[in-house]
Amino acid sequence: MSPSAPKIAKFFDQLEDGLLVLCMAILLFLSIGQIALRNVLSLTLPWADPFIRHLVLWIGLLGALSATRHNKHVKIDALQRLLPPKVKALTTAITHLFSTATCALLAHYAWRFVADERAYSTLAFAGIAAWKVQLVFPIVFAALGLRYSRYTAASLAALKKSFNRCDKA
Amino acid sequence: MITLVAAVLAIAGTPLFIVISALSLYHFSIAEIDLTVIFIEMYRIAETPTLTAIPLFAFSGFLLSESQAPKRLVRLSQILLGWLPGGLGIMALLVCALFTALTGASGMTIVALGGLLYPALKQARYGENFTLGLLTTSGSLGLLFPPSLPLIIYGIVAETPIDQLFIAGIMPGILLVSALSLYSYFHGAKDFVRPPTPNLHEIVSSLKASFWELLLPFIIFGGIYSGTIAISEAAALCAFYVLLVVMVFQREVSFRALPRIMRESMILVGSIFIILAAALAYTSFLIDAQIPNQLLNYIKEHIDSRLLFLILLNLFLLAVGCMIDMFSALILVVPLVLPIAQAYDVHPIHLGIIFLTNLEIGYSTPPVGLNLFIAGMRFEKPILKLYVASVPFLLILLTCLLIITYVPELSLYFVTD
Repeated sequence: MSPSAPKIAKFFDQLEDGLLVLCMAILLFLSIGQIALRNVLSLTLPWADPFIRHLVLWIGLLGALSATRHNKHVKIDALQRLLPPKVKALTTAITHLFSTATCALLAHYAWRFVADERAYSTLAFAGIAAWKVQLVFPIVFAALGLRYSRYTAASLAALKKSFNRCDKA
Repeated sequence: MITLVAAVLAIAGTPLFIVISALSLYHFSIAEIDLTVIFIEMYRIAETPTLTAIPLFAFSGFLLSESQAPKRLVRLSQILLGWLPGGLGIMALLVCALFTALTGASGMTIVALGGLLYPALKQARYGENFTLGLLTTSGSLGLLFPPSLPLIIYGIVAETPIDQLFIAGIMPGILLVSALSLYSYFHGAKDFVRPPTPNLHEIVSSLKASFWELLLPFIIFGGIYSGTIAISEAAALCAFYVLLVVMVFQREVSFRALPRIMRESMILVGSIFIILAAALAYTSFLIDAQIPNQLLNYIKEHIDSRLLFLILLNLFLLAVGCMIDMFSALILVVPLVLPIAQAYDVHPIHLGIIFLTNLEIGYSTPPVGLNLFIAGMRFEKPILKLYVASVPFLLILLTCLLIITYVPELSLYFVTD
């Protein structure tokens, strides 16, 4: 790994954090603003509701990406707690590898989905093409795949180490 | 076969959304359906207006737990209930229930309140096992009270009106809390020493201190039940109000802490939504393949009484609740069970309450209920000790579950549907 790799990873982590906070701030602001506008000025913004719903989609997917980084995904970990360390290292490597493969496939089909939508030129809201807001799918699943591939590499290294230690003993 | 592989991967600790997505990829490709359909289904997240309520309520809950609000509530209830034998235990139950209603059984109740309540209960000479059992089972108590996130998720998945679900949960929720309160009254403080009676000044000052938080329920429900705003708008108002209280009135959370709190709460939301997205695709496959119908026919062949069906449903849901987290349980199991329950004449709103009560209890059920592990970590106690400590509480909750299941009026009396 080149020395700049951790730097790049850090940059993307910060980008992800920033986007998440930005989306949430807009969501808060817009959903309150909309209620205020309607009740005070009897004004409704026709694009606000669909925009808010898409923000929620983005927040959900970006949040899921963060959940991977912070190891906060929902999983059944009762068994993991009981396994001996070596077996645990092995199952971790396998689950990470499987996650990498699944996310790669999902990213691929998400990309095709977006391409289809672009060809049909569907609209999302306020004249914005749907494919543009749907780009979040391939981006997030590709990022998830990359993240899991890094974890796979790390867990394989850990696995190797634990076996080497065993040989010496 | 493929289901077996998926089950093994899930038990080995693969994130659930990966397992579900992999199953969808497999089944759709076997059925020669274009796999982009997965994203057509996932995109439905952007077409469900009620979902907006979830990030907003989650953010409010995280924000409140960052402030001194839990501490003030504990202090207030100590003054109001401390004179009663077992009163401190009852206070702990009430505060936990309120807190969980807002944060939705993400383990936050035990983590955030456990540290306050455990020493308080010990100091008042409550037994060790009683204290641990109470705090463990309280980790999911209160899920039936609005605006609990699991109730909202059930409403979305089952396409059931959420305002009616909120009403339906109140009486069963009160039943659970009062049953445990009675236990605390008779058993909690064996050598109870009545603390000095608080004077009027103390009562007024603690009420005053909690004034802004005490207004919150009225802010949330006033709008919903006067029919002027939708759930998602009530959630926006709630978030705005909580922001105002913690940042302007009480000044306990700084502006600089907001991005972190947003990120932390959105990680919870993301982990729920990604499962919801994955499950939207998978359940659409299940429905295409008529799996719920086959399941229904199979069950109808073997079970002919409603009573037996409900008993089996309870056992099944308890097992589910102790195996997987509440949100995934709802998202995955509701679409399968709902049509079956309707065939046995179980009202969808009543079903929701049964679901949540079961999952709530399943969370504290040995050997793998999540609350037990969280409490084990939080209080640094061996898990076996927590198993023993939670047994009397579980027995009481199970008795309540039977009442809630077999007396539908308890849930449906105030429901206008």
